Parts: sequence; C-alpha cells; structure tokens
Amino acid sequence: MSDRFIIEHDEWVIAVTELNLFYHQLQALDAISFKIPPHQVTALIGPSGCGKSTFLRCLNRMNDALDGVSVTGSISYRGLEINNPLLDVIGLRRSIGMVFQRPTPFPKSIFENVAYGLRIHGIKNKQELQDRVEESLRQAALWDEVKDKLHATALALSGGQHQRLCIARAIAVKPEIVLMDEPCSALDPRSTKKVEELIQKLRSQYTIVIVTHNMQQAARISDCAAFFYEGRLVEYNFTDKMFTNPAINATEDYITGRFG
Amino acid sequence: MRIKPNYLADRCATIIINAGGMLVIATIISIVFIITSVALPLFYPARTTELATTATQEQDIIAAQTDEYLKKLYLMHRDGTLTFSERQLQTFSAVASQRLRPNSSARVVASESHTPFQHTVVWEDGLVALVQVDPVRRQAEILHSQKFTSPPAHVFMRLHQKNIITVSVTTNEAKRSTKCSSSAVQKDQRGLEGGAGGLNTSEDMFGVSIPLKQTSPCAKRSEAQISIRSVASSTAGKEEQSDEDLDDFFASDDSEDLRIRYDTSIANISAVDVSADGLQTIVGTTQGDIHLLRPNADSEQLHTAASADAITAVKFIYGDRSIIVADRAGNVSAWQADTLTRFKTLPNHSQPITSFSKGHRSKLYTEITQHGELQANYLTSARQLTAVHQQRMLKASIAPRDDAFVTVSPTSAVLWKLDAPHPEISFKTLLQPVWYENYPRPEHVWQSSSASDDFEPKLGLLPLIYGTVKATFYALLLVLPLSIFAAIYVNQCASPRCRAIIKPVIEILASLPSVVIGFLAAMWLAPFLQTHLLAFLISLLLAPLVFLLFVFGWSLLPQHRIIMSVEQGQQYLLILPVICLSYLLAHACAQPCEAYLFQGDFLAWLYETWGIHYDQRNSIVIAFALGFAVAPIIFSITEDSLATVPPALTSSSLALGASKWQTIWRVLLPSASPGIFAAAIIGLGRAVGETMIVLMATGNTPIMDSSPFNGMRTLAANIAVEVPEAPVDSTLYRTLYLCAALLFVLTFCFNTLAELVRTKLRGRYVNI
Repeated sequence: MSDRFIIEHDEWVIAVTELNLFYHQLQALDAISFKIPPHQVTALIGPSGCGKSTFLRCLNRMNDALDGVSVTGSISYRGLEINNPLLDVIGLRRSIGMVFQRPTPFPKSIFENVAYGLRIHGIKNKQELQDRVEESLRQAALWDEVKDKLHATALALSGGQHQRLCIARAIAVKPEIVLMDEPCSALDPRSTKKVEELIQKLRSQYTIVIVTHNMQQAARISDCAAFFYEGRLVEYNFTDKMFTNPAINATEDYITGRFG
Repeated sequence: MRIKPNYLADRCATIIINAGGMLVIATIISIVFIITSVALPLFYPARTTELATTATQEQDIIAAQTDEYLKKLYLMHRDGTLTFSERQLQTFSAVASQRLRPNSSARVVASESHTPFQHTVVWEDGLVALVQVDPVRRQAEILHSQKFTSPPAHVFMRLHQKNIITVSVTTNEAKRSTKCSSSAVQKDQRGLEGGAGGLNTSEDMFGVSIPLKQTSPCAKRSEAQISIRSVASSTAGKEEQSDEDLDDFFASDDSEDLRIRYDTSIANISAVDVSADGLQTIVGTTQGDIHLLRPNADSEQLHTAASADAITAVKFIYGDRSIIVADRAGNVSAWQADTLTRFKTLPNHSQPITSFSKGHRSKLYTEITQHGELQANYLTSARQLTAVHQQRMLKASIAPRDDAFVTVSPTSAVLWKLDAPHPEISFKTLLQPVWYENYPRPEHVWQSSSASDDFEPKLGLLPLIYGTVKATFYALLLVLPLSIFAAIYVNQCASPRCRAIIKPVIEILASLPSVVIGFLAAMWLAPFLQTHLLAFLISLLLAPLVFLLFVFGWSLLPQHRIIMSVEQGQQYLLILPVICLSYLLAHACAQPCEAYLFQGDFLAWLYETWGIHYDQRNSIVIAFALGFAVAPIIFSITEDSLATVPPALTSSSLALGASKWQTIWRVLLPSASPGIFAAAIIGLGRAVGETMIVLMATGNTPIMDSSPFNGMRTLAANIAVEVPEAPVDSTLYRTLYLCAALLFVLTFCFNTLAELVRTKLRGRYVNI
C-alpha cells in the first residue's frame, strides 16, 4: 500500500470496499476502498478516463443502464448494500440524487421540472408541491430569478440557471446525498461561481460528492478529495492537506499540472 | 496565391446545388400545373356561339335538324316540303327540296321528333306519318302512316324493335260534371277487335277512364282520349306510294297486327310526351297532374299531382328513366319514370315554358319560354349551361351529337354550337349527394360506366375520399400504436444486440414492393381471415387478457438473477410464445364457439343477427396490409427521434428515482414528440397515397360504409382502376386528374402539416 494514501473517517454515510468494475473485459475501477463522510463535500479528481465518473455512477446504480457492466465488491450506504441486485433502485435514487455534467432541464415548465421528482414519488397535494418547489428553488438560489415565470418553459433559462434548476430538482425530493458529475464544466465563470456558492450552502443539509476537473474548484469547495488515477484510488485526503502537502508524488504531479 | 481555385470550386458548387434545388421545385410546380390544367376544364362554364343561320327568309318552318357534323340542315315547312341546305361560312343555302306528299296539298299542322332524323308529321287532313330524313342523301321516306278522320291533338309514332307504336290524343268537349266522378274500369274485349284508326267518337272509346278531379265540377272541361297501339313494321314500313295508296293501305289494315291496344281518357290534357320505345306516355293536365301510362305492364297507370299550376310541357329525358315537367309558373322539375316521384328541382324561369327538347346521347335538354328564350340545361347536375334568344322562337332540336342545337322560328332557323364538354360535372355533383335516375334518394355514388349507352355517369368523389380516409384510419389504428411502442421498446428496453438486429430488419421491410404485400393480402390473408374470422376476433380479446395474466404471474415470481436478466432486454423471448399461445387458444376456442353460439357459421350469424355483410377483402385485411407497408416508416422515424433525445435527459429522470415507464412516459415521449408526430403524419401520407395494396386488397367497391368488414375504393386505387376506361379529354379522364390533384393536395397538406408541427414542437422541446 505504499503507493496509496487513504484516510479513514469514523463517521460515514457510504463505505466502499474493494470495488471493481468491468466494462466487458476492461477493468475501469480497481479495488476502490474508502469512506465518504456526512455533510461534507467530497471531491473526486483525476485525469480524464481515470474512472471517477464511473465510480460516481456506481453510487446510485446509474451504471445499470449501460450494457456490459459488471461490478464486484461492496458499497454500503448506511449499512445497505448498494450492489445487491435485488435492491430497490428507485428508493435508493430517491436518497442519492444526482446532477449531471450538462444541465438537463426537461421540456416542461420551471415548476414542473422541480415538481417532477415529487410527482413521481406520488405527491399530489397542490399546496405541498408548491411549498416544496419554492423551498427547493430557494435552496438552489434560483427563486428570486424565476418566481415570476414559474410556469414558463424551463428551456428559456440560461445555462447557469439550468444547472441550478437541475440542482433544485435533485434536492426537491430531499435526498441525503447529492452526486455531482462535473456540474460546472459547461458553465461560464459567473455561473460557476454561483453554483459553487450553492454547493457551499447545501453542505449543511446534504452530503455532496462532486467530480471535477478543475483543481481550483476542488480546492475551493471540497472538504475531502479523492485522487483517481487509471481506475485506482491513489490518494484520499483532506483537501487542504492534499493541495498543500500531498502524500503521494503522483498526486502532486497532477495537482501542479505536470500531467493530466 | 492558391485561393482562387477554391473560390471557383465554391462558386461552381453553389451554382450546381442551387440549380438542382430549383429544378426540383420547378418539376413539382410543373406537375401540379399539368394536373390542375387537365382537371380545371371540368369547371369551365359552357359557351354558345351562333354558327350559322338560314340565308333567306323562309316560309312557315315547323321543324329543323342538322347532321352530325353540323354541315347540313334541313327544314320542314308547313306546306309539307323539306328543304335541304348546306352550310357555307355563316349561312345555310338551300340545295334541294322534297315534298313529303307530292299529290296532296294538305298542310302540316304538327311535327314531333325524338331521334335526330325521325319525325312524326301530322297533316291537316288527318294523315299522320313517321318520316325518316336522310340529310346527307337529301331525301326523306315515310316509314309508316296512319289516317285519322281529323288531326289528333297530339300524336307520336315510335319505331321500336320493328314495331311501330302510335300514341294519339284526341280531344272532344266533355259533358258536364256528372261524368266527372265516374271511375269504372271497363275493359271490353271488343276493344281489341275494333277497327283501326282514330278514336274520334266516344262510342269507339274503350279502356280505363281516370277519375276526374272534383275541384271545379261545373266547369266546362275537355276530355281527351289517349290511344296507344302498335303494329309490326314489316307490314307497315317500306311503303313509298302516293298518299292515296297509303290511305288505301291503312283503310284496308286489319287489326291482326295490333300487338298492343290500350285506350284511356284523361281530362284537360295540356302536355304529352312518349318515350323512345313508345311504351311509356306521360301526360300533363291543366290541373297540374301528371299521368304515366304504360300499356304493356298490366296497363299500369300512375298519376300524381305535380304542381298547383297547369302543366305546360313534359318530356322524357334520354334513357327514358326521367321525365321533366314544367308548369305555368315556370317551375321545372324532374320525375322518376318508374315510380313517378319527383327527384330534382331544375333551373326555373319566370315565364311558362312552351316546349322541351332532349339530347340524343346525354341528359342534356333545352327549354323554350313564351318569349323566345332558350335555355340548355343538364339533368344530372341540374346545371344551366347556356341561354340564347331568337325572335319568335318556336322550338329547338338538339343536334345528333348533343354538341349544338337548332332553334326555329317560322321564318328562320339558327344553328348554335354548344361548347359544354362536361355538363354533368359541378362542385355539387362531385361533393354533395346527388339524386340520380332510378335512385330512391340522393346519394354519394361513384359509378363511372355501365353496359348501357343511356347510363348516367355518377362521379361523386366523396365515396373515394371516404374510402381513402377509411383505409388510412384502419391502417393507422392498427399500426400507429404498434410501431410507436415497438420503437420505444427497441430504443429503451431491448438489449443493444437485439436493437442492432431489429432496426435494420424492420427498415428493410420498408423496401418490400407493395405489390408483394398487396398480393399476399389479397390471395392469402383475405381468404385466411374469412375462414378464421372468429378465431381472429377472439384472439383480439384473448391476447391482451393472456398477456396481462402472464405479466401478473411474472410479477409474483421471486426476484432471481435469471428473471432479472430476462428483464434486461430479453422480454420478447417470453412475450412471443405468450402471444402465439393466446392465438392458438383462440383458434381452439373458435370451433366450439361457432358451433354453440353462432349456429355453426359465424359469418351467416353476423349477417342474420346484425345485418353485417362480410366482404372477403375488407378493412381488416387492409389494416394489416397497408399497416405492413407503413409501419416500417413510422417505426424508423420514431426510433430515430427517440434516439436523438439526449441520454442525459432520461438519466436525470432515472436519477430522480423515476421508473423506466415514468421516464418514457413523462420525459422521453414529450421530448421526442415532434419526431413521433412527424412519423405519424408521414405514415399517414404514405397510406393515403398507397396504390398497389389497396388496389389489390380492398375489393374496390366505392361504398360509404364504416364497417370494418366492408371494402372500399381509395382515390389512388380509383385512378389505377379507371385509367384504362377513360378516353383522353373525356369527363372521366378529367375527373381522374381531379382525383390526382386531390391526392396531391392531401399528401402535400399532410407533409406540410408534419413539417410545421415538427418545427413548432421542436421550438418548444428544443434540446440543449
């Protein structure tokens, strides 16, 4: 284990143990083991193709939809085995929400976008829907911008607003964990700043796991960081430590921009 | 610099591409132009031009007719001479003349004609002759003559199947009202043995007397005797003797040759006409009644009140199936000859009509008013074609080819060219129900031809439009849900390997020639469905039932790896046997069902209980066949549009905890809806325009019946069916072009609609 450095958290919501993932014959994740602490922002960093997005998608079983994926090892979410094939995936995804790289507003109104998750979980009461939508939009810092046009199409919003809308949509169903897959990579710097502020704000209520290519961003917003390289977890450390004094040379090389 | 060649190539490419696009547009526009320019003359108004008049002032003309080529004209004068003349430019100059009765100076009092060159001529001395004129050889011959003691009020001679039938109406002053109500039927055998000749005395009168109206019992009324009799023309014809001989001949005529003899009397006759075969006589009275006499069929006599006013003219229209009747108020109506029911109101006038004349090969007729105005009308379309005016116009005769008419005043005759190539067509006859001859009610009918010459073409487009819509409706009803669900399954549920096979295979089906599909549908599916109809209907019920039961049972199975792996895109492996099984089950049920519930024959039961007639080639067959042709397109476009929905969108929905079905229903379908809509409309357009399949498998019966067990005829199939029967520039030919234009407009509208909706929806559901 000389080439890895992994910190242990006492309190955790997700514990990953010896996770291997294969795309057909290709091994995309190789013996990943670490624990994700609650109410913190955990950043997954690493060069393209290192498996960090794949890992993220393992956490709410989004890899199911892909063909030829096989997973071994264990991901425990509060003692619940996520990799159990008989698991209620729908319930799991309700607890572990996800925001994607590109904003994906549905072709519906702003209100319906946010209410979508609530509706599919069977909430029909109009007042409750209204309240939850407002609450989520406020949390996503979007309320003031859209409160007058809730029933206009969501597609007319700007890119940054789209992403915040998707975050509002994800947190409307009150998940415990929000997975973010490079949420700012398609956004301009101003929108990025807003989303980052939002992430900071959300940390108090949600556990956030974020994949990012942007080292500064990881440094700015995350509490812990996990450095993936070629399908392996190389270093898992507190962010400030990793960015000031990485335990592994490869991490340092990556962070300082020597490769990747 | 190396810039120039690139620039040149760019310019060339731009020009070539633009030229190509323009060429396509120009081609389409010229196709539209050609189609409409052929169809449009259907709606041109008729035109009349004055071709020629008689050159000199003539004396007492009573009749005139022209030849088939409008080159020759003959006039009949009251002094019994025929003048033959030739047309030179705008005038007719006389070239020959002939006296009909060289040895008699008797004047002609009346002349009547029903075929172009045959006239019934009445002389003042009571001789009535059927005269055949040959305008080309400039001679006339008397085919038959008969001597009355005084000229009858109306007399008609008809040469029909070697019989000469004479209908004569003689009037005498009626007695007072006491006789008015007598209505006894007194048939006397003596009548048949009675002497030939006129019925000018009441003692000679036999037959049926019609009960007279009691409206004005004390009024003085005239009563007319109508006598109809027939002789074989073998004994009558060919005689070209002097009229003394003729008179002798008829004086010696014995009644052995009388085939029919029928007498009746009707009060206050004001107008009479006799059909071409001489077997039907229509009589109009001053009280506004019309009577139809048929001596052959049990001496049948129909009568009805046609108008509140006096009848001024009656006429059998070509074909003898309809009668036109005019009253003194100027109203003209058409009546069906077989039942004497009114079926059309024709263009009317403010003045009374004095006479009609009819066409010789169509339902054209002309009418003349008191003030010398002539109108040419057409019965089927009730269209007024043209109107002309001539001083003191007496009567008119329509030229042999119905392309002109001659109007006659006592001193001159005018030949008018009538340019109305499609008089039977109007927007009304094309699109509204038309009351055709011998039909019980106005109907939408398409029947372009028949075996008989005097047939009335029925060119209602609505049965064809209805058939097109029906075929399309049933095909899409079956195929639209199927292909859209198939596309969803292939896109969302099937494993990639299965998708890689299914999609190309279905797309290859689209290239299957439609003649093959049509052939299979007509030769295999239609007979198969007829013998297994009940099994098919049961399976319609049973298949979803068995399927639901199976799915319910499946959901009860404990979760297991094998089960999970089947649910990952291998569902069809289970569903196919289930559907096959349910059909076999239905097939097994059908036999006992038919035996116990439907007395052993479902089709017969269907007909007896519900009155549903089952055609072998019906809408169900078409739904399958046409659906088979259209499904690949709808499937393919739908699948493509589903594939363009970004996977991130469905992933977001799934990541929110939505099930697959919720994701498909709430996110995938709305996002892909422009494409799906376009797929449906393009499928619709293809189904509307499809020809070969509907031609082979619909039965091509142009009926308007929504029952799925009946066939239909579509616009496209109609063109294919009728093209061999349509001479160039005929009405049918142009109507077929109209069908083509309609088809073009339909498909053009559908495609434009699809494009508009697609762009509009795409604007709404634009993907980032």
